[in-house]
Amino acid sequence: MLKQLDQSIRTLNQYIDQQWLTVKKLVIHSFKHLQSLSKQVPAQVKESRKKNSLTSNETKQALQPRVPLNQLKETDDAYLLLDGLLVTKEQLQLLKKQLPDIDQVIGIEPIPAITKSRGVKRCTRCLNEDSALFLPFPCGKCLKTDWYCLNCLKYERLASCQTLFHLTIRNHQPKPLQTGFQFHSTLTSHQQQASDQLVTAIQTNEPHLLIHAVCGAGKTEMLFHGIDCALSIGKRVCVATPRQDVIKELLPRFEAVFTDVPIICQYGGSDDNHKRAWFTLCTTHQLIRYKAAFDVLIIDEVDAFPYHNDQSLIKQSNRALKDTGTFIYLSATPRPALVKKRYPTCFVPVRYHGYPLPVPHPHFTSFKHSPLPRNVKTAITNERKNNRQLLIFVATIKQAEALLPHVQAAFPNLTIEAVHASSENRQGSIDQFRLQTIDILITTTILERGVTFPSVDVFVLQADHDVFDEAALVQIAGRAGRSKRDPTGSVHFYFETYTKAIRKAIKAINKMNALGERL
Amino acid sequence: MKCLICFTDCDQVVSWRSLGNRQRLGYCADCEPKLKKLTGLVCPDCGRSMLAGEVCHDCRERKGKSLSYNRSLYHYDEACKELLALCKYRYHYHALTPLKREINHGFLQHYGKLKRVTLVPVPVSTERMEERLFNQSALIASMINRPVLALLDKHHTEKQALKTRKERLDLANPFYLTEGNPLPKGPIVLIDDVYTTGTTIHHAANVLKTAGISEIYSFTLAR
Repeated sequence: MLKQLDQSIRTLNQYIDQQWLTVKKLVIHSFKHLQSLSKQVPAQVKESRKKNSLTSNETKQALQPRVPLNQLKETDDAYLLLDGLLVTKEQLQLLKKQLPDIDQVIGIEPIPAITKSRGVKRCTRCLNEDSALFLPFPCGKCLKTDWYCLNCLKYERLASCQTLFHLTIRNHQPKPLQTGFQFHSTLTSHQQQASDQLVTAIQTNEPHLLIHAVCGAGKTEMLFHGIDCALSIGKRVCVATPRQDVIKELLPRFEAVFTDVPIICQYGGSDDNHKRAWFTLCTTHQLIRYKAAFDVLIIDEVDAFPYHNDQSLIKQSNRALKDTGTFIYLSATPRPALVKKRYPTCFVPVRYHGYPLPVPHPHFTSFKHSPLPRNVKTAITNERKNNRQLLIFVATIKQAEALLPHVQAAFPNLTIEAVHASSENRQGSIDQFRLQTIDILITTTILERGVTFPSVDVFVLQADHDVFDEAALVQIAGRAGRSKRDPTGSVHFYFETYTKAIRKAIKAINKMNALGERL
Repeated sequence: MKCLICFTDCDQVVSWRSLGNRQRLGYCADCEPKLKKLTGLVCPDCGRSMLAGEVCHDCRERKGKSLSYNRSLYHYDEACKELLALCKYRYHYHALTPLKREINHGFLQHYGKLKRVTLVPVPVSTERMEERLFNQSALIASMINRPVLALLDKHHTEKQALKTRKERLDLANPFYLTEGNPLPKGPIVLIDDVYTTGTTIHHAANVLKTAGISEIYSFTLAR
């Protein structure tokens, strides 16, 4: 912990030094610019100004606001991108060091950190209202009892005597961007329809749009044209998703398409967390930094844990969007609560290659005697004949760890790995599985959505566990048969009780296939 | 009840005792820090765990001691480091609260027989106080059932944790006596969170000694 802290302080110092150099350049540049401007100003005006302000420093400060924002040229992004940021006092002081004339360009609105109305406390940063998550402590500075919020303690402690600052640009003009759009493959007619609807929603500033597309329908491809359109008319775009693995996979795909736009990717432990850009990829947890910052906010996999049942995350994402902005939900399995809101919806029931979704095969199996029952073992040996990789989903981390030695013992000539949220080499194992050096990957629900492996079969052990709800099972079934070369894959559920979730998931997949055939 | 480390609800067994239990703060079973208590023979001067109970190398080299001896409660291992970092650097005031009874009990084991004891928490500088908004030594002192008196103040210095061992040992004394406080008559026990090189505690003890206090002990959470 201390070592990490030490290291982070060092990197911060380096970053400050770099910023300081660029700011120095900016100041010199703008000063020269001002000098050339002042030569053009008629002599009379010049004289009157000289009377008012004596030192050159003062004239510089007085003139600064009169320089229009777009004349600051290259470095103006440093200011424009501060729009909509929520910062603490320490962060603001840091910013002031980097950008000395921040006060003149940017409006800084102080907000108390914890507000109290009708006895209900509310953290202004994470919008948490759960009274059990506020703890009192005697403050050594103001010598009163203050409160602090536990919900956002991992970002930095916020006590009720502290203030947050909301940065806004006063007269903001949209700044069109050159995107360097590189996307030449053609979309299917369904994808094109969704893509067009997205573009019109962005152009007409529609407040909401839900894109409901089955797993493997090519949701990311549908987004490209919409995002390109938004960026080229000067809108700020954010793509957020609750899962870290999903956002890490999206980054290279977006970078390949938008070649001229710097894209930042924010997640817990990322290097980009203190950067700002016109196009942001982030996990939904990172939206806590923003208030009224984005014109277009796209939430991929809205129904995923923890976003779907965490009220404060939902509120934070609503806050990150501007009042005039467009909120786009993407999902393969939208929850009833979202469907009930009756937002304009775009429905894509077929996969991009046109083949139906693989329907899961249910199997009653007893897990009483062994974590790897006999029929699962024979199913794995049968599965090895068709040269596909195998994904085995289990409910808990403990189960994954318990299962791994059993499978390794049963199939000694295969490479088998297990990944879960707290495994050390999580990303490495996933990459290796993608490179097909691992034959069988045992995983918890971290890989249930948003990830694409070309040719896999999927087994779910103990599919009757609470973790596997309807949405999760549909998503897991959607991992199979995603590529054009191998559009079919088999999905098997093993369970002791045939739960409602399993029944509903199979029903939902059949329904989607029926709808897709009709089209 | 919420766990103080992972902030999720923790399972609680409902019983007659839990109904009467007013304390809402605790750790859940997964997060419970695995702290190891210092038991067995220790160095009689600094309280470090020693196999034969002899005076340790550091204490033999130290000259001009004003501190009688130090005693600590836990081993300063990874689990303890993590917990203290949560409290000190993430500014989580209540991170140590569930240990209250254990800390009080541990103090009484070592210093229960001393009469008219006054606790003096090692201070933090005003700058650090503005950042952290609390003093972790005062927090530990407030858990112990003895009168607390803030006798000392501190000039601003760099964080101890960022310095090497040699830098720490060569440091000038950053502490001074607060004005306007009458000195207590009985023995004094200095309270701090951790004793590593002992420089901090010995500096504080030197100041108290020159002020005219004869009996000075110290108690830290970790060693």
